[in-house]
Amino acid sequence: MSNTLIELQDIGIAYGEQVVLENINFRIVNEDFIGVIGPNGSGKTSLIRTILGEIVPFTGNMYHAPQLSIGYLPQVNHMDTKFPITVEEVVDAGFLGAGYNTAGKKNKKEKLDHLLSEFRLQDFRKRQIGTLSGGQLQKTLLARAVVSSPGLLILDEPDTYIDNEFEHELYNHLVKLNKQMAIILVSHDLGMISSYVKTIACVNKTLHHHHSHEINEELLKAYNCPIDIITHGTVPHRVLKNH
Amino acid sequence: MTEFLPHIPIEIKPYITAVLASLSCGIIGTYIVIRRLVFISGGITHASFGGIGIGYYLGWHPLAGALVAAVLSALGIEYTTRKGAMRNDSAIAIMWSLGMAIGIIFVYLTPGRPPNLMSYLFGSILVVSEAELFFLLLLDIVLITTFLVFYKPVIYVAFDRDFAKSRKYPVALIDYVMMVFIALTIVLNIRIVGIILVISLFTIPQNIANLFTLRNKPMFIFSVLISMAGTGMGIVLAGIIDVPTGATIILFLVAMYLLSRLLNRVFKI
Ligand SMILES: Nc1ncnc2c1ncn2[C@@H]1O[C@H](COP(=O)(O)OP(=O)(O)OP(=O)(O)O)[C@@H](O)[C@H]1O
Ligand SMILES: [Mg+2]
Repeated sequence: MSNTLIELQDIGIAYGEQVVLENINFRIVNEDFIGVIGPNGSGKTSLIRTILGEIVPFTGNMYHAPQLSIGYLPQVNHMDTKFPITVEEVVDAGFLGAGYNTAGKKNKKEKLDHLLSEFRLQDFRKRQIGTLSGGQLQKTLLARAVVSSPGLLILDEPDTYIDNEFEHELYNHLVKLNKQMAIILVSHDLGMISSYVKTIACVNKTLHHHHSHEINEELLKAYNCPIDIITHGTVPHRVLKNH
Repeated sequence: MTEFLPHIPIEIKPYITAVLASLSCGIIGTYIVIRRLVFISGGITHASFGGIGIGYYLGWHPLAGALVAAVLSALGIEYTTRKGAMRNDSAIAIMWSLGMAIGIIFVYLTPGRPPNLMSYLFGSILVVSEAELFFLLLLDIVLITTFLVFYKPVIYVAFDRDFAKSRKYPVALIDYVMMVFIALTIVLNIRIVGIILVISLFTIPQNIANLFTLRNKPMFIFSVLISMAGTGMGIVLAGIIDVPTGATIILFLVAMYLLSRLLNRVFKI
């Protein structure tokens, strides 16, 4: 049975006078695995920050299921990598929440250890984050987002610094996680997205939720998403032209 | 209200002051450095001089005036930062000089010569009263307790507030409380090295510590210890060569920093 986790109705978002998104109608249910695509600056991150409650829309309604907990993986660029904090501390921060100081320590430690080894981060657990590679940092942040088993996982371009091998591993991992939580994934890698997600949402001034994972040129044109697509390889799948 | 306090012998009082000051400066200074609030803290410090001037003019204890000015400016900065989405360094610079200007005007308007004015500007660890020490001790106790109980959330929020917000953690509450702690720590340490130099007690020990560790907990602990060593040695040296204590403490800390850098280079610690 599908429960609505989040619903946006006629939402509009602006920074000062500059309207970024308008007429957003978007429903997220508990089984969803939605790939969010759209050109740079189209408002994908702004949409996510609205869902998180960081940006207050200038118009429209937003529904949040009560008790919904959200795991969030931000776009990396604005992170202070000089900050004196280790990999395991960053992941532990994922337990932050109302009962942080009272929740069971042992249980948390087990989950943390399990996740660190699953993400192959155990050798780096005591490392300061500034000494990690981009991919290792990204994995650390992903681990932080999922360690508390949230009801909704939001990932803003998690594949930016990740090598090809871990990229597939990451997406397979997400497919597994999707059995327990809804996932919203922002990415520019259309090829990867369309072979793993269930549905696609295209963002550009407004949002179109396409209830299928196939991406084709007509669709994108109709939605005014100016992204070039070619088919390549023996397995028919689509990637960005400059892939 | 503070008559019950014991009288502390003049020979050991500066060292007790140094220890109590180092606890607060070591803890809050590390928070300031890792959150990159150094410039903001400089602004609050100088804004507090306005409070000192008004305090003189109204016949209050100057530190009471400083306290009001520091807390108000700290809360004001936090509030405008939240509203404006970005830290505005020009606004901080304006507040910085406005505080100094108000202070200068009111000191001038105060009849007679304001007692101990120099001790606020340049510090004078020897004139610190028992009452001030008592408040410094209280502040230390509050800071140590808060950081022991809420250490991890405070660090996690400092590292990534957006993430903490997404977890529905009360980030704003933590930020405001920390701002008040910063203001209190500044005001109660003004007399150690003076308004002009107090920011260095929040930054030099931390940067020395940071040369030897990239972990947060050791950074807090080392900062406190380095600050104790620096202020203690500064007091001793100033006594021997008969120069102002506050400035000697800073010079000694800077020397420690340069030496640590050198050691760090040579031994690749
Ligand atoms: N804090 C801000 N203040 C003002 N304008 C902003 C702010 N953040 C984003 N914008 C603007 O809003 C628009 C949408 O930005 P957003 O970050 O949501 O795009 P995006 O789709 O995530 O882009 P990218 O693919 O590059 O990550 C852009 O034009 C951007 O310049
Ligand atoms: Mg973005």
